[in-house]
Amino acid sequence: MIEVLSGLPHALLVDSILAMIVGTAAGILVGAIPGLTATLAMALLLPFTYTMSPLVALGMMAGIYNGSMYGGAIPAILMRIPGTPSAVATTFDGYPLAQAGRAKYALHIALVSSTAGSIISALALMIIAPPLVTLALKFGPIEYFWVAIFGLTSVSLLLAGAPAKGLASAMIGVAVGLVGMDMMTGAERLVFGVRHIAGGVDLAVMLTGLFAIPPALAMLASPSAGSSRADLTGAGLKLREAITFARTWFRSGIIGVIIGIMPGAGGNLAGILSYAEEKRAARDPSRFGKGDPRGIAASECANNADNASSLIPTLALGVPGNSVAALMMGAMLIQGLNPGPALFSQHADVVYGFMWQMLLTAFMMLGLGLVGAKLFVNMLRIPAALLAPMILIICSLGTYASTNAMADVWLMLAFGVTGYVLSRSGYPIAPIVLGAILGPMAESSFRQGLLISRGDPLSFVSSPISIILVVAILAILALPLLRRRKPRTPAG
Amino acid sequence: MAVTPEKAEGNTVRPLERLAVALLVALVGAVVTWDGTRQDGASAYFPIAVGSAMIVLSVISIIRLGRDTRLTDEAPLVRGFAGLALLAVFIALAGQIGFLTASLAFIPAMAVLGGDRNAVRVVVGTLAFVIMAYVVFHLAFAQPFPAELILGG
Amino acid sequence: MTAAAAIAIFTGPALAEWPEKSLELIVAYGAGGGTDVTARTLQPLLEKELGQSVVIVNRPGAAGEVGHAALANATPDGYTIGILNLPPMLTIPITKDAAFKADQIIPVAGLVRDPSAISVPGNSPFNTLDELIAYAKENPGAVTIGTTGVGTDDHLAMRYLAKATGAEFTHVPFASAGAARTALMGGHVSAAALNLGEAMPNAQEGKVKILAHFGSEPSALAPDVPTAKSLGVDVEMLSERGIGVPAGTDPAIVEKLAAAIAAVANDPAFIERNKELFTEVAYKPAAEFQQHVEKLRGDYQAMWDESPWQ
Repeated sequence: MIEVLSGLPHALLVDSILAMIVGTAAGILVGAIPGLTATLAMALLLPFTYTMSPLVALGMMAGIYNGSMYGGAIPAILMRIPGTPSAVATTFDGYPLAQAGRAKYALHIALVSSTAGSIISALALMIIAPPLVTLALKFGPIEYFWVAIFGLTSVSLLLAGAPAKGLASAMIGVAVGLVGMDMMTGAERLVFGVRHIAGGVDLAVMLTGLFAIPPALAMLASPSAGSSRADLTGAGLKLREAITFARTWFRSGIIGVIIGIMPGAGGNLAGILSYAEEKRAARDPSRFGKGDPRGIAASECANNADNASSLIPTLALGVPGNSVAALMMGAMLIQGLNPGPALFSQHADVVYGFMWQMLLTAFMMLGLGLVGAKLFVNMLRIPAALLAPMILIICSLGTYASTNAMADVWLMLAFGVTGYVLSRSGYPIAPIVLGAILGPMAESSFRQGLLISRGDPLSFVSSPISIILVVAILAILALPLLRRRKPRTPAG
Repeated sequence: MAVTPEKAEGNTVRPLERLAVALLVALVGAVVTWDGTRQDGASAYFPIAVGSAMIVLSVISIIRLGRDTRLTDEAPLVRGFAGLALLAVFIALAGQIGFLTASLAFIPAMAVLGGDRNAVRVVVGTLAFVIMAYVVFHLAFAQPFPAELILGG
Repeated sequence: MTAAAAIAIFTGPALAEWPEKSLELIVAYGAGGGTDVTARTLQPLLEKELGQSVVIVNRPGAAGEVGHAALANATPDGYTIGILNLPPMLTIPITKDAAFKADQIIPVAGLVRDPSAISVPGNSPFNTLDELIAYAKENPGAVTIGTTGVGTDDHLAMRYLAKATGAEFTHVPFASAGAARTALMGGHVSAAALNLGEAMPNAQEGKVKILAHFGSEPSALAPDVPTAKSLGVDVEMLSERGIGVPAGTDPAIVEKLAAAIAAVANDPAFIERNKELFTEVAYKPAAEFQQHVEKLRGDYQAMWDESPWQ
């Protein structure tokens, strides 16, 4: 615990605080604009973090992550358009409340609940990650191999409507990860004479292309954003009333934290599950969907509560469970920080400072949300057709600035085309990125395991951790088969 | 990002497109597999496994293709590729005349593609963005970028 | 064209006023890595010496090939300089048909060095290098050694060690020093070859034992760690960083630049900052550094011809 506290002074440095404020404000803004998500904002920022100090880069990212989850509630409540996918459940009760002239009240509940969720999540990160790191030393190459496989299978199966497409996405990512010099032998693979990629594909270039270009294109086709008539009506939330939501926050917070730790599950699932649970637990469920404030509180608390907790496996094991965590990990790798036990012993200031940033940005979100509500509502009026090219220009500038090579800007475009084409046909994007991160990890640890065990295949199932992981992988693989027995839901 | 119930905005994807994409994935898988067979020893395991998996998964996707037209959140095909083509032109120009100079043409072109016909708003938006980007990237970050035509190199 | 010949035939105007504008300092690795940190430690002090701004340009890619090639192929006007990394600058052109040749870069000064070292986990039964080698000889292949990747100084150190002692090790390459160190601390490999500076923080915590380092002389950072040479094993392997310019740069500029770097290298602030980073400042003036680079190149070429390491 003392180690955790040691990070606080680093998070309170002036440049870190400024970074968090800027990040949080930017996060709320992008969250509030339908079509812009935390992933897009972070993908845009990522190439520029090359020249920043670690806690400035991570502080901004922490702010964007937390802020965007609340920002998504603004159009969800005012216009019934979830600003981010995670705010879907917020529309159920938020919009009816706004229609009834209580928009301000609804926004305040969303804000306070988001803050509560972020705080619960940051505390979970501080409490769970350090002990997990001690355990992580027990993870040798063989255990890491299984962790990587577990991450890949669960992400690709949970994210896709069709399992075959989710797995194909992950495999495409692994193939991208193969490009360049084979770490174990120095042999070049999939380079085909292009010297620029002989050392592999730059992660930031790939993330920017995949996550920023397709949404920018989608904005070209949605001139609807920008023509809104969103108003803040009614009285706000009183402090005394806020406290009555404590039970809801507790339930939703725990659901959010657990969903966050699981690879592949994201804020949208957390929001919807908590909403359903809150409705089930309520004595008078009939009011849900007609403007029950507890519905907003559950959804918004849960979609923030999975934030910091999704970074637990990322920081402790170097295994990102979702695309935002992958972006966070990208930002760390750019800084020369390799997540895992070494990070905690070598860069304790950064890792604990970052945990505090996840906590502090929750409070900044509360402050900025209260003060700047009007401004954020006005953001809904920016025309999408102008925003789209600006996003694309910032992507290009950022990519060029990070490696000073025009070749990487072209590579970014290639990833943009790939992401756009694949996404249209129902291939999810996130598994591509996780494949590119986890694939090399799976391959090198597999081969290291073979070297260390001198080629004994039984060694891959000899430790308790390995056996647990193998069982978990089999369970995940069996999931789609079980699901098919049940009658298909119309949504699936 | 999504485990969301498919949020349909009305852009359609025809089965022919889905078939073409599945075939492309299979083709890439074949290339990966072929490159894998050229490798020695353990370097070959993963490429061959991954490439073959891509082919098999594509075959499954093709079997389950379906003849229905589906909906997607992504941009419609023609407009999406037009946007990508404009971006390609922008990148090519940026290397020659600088990012910001190229932006002067790129933003209005994209705005027109996106259906914004308000000329004043487009011009003001473009200029504001270019000036802001100049201040941030050239002055504040002082990063070396390709020389700008409008700034005289 | 060799570096010496390039200098001899250069007949441009004498650039007495150099530098008149800002310089670009190419770093062949990404921001945040060891080389980048060296560059950013150097930057403000060099700016002070030269009276011009120095812009750091990261050109990562292909394990250092892209950046070194960018330096080698830059206009030799004195306004593009770069950090040289040894051994990569020499081994890359040896092991593959690379986009640059070592003689396209003139070494100007040696700046910092970090010897490779061999470490075992804190609870390892081995306490000396001799014990480790004796065990490896009795049980060929049973000793696994993690390194920071194929063709790195640590990998080469391990190979030289095996060759010099006749012991047989199993090489387990890792993607980064961090990964190799974690595997070492968890006891998943019997030993690891890491740079001294990379192993020092954990050695101070008692989590790893450094058996020996492969520097040419005892290191000021870790005076207690013996050199392999002092233990009777004739192996020398260091990771070194210096400054270089493209071949063809005016000798007068090279001289001026060398003088500025000499001043920085002797600046107590520079030495102190590097000490905090567990890197040792080891300034080598141009002539000495050029000789050193030339000798290393011959050594690596000979080793490669005898038995390629990848």
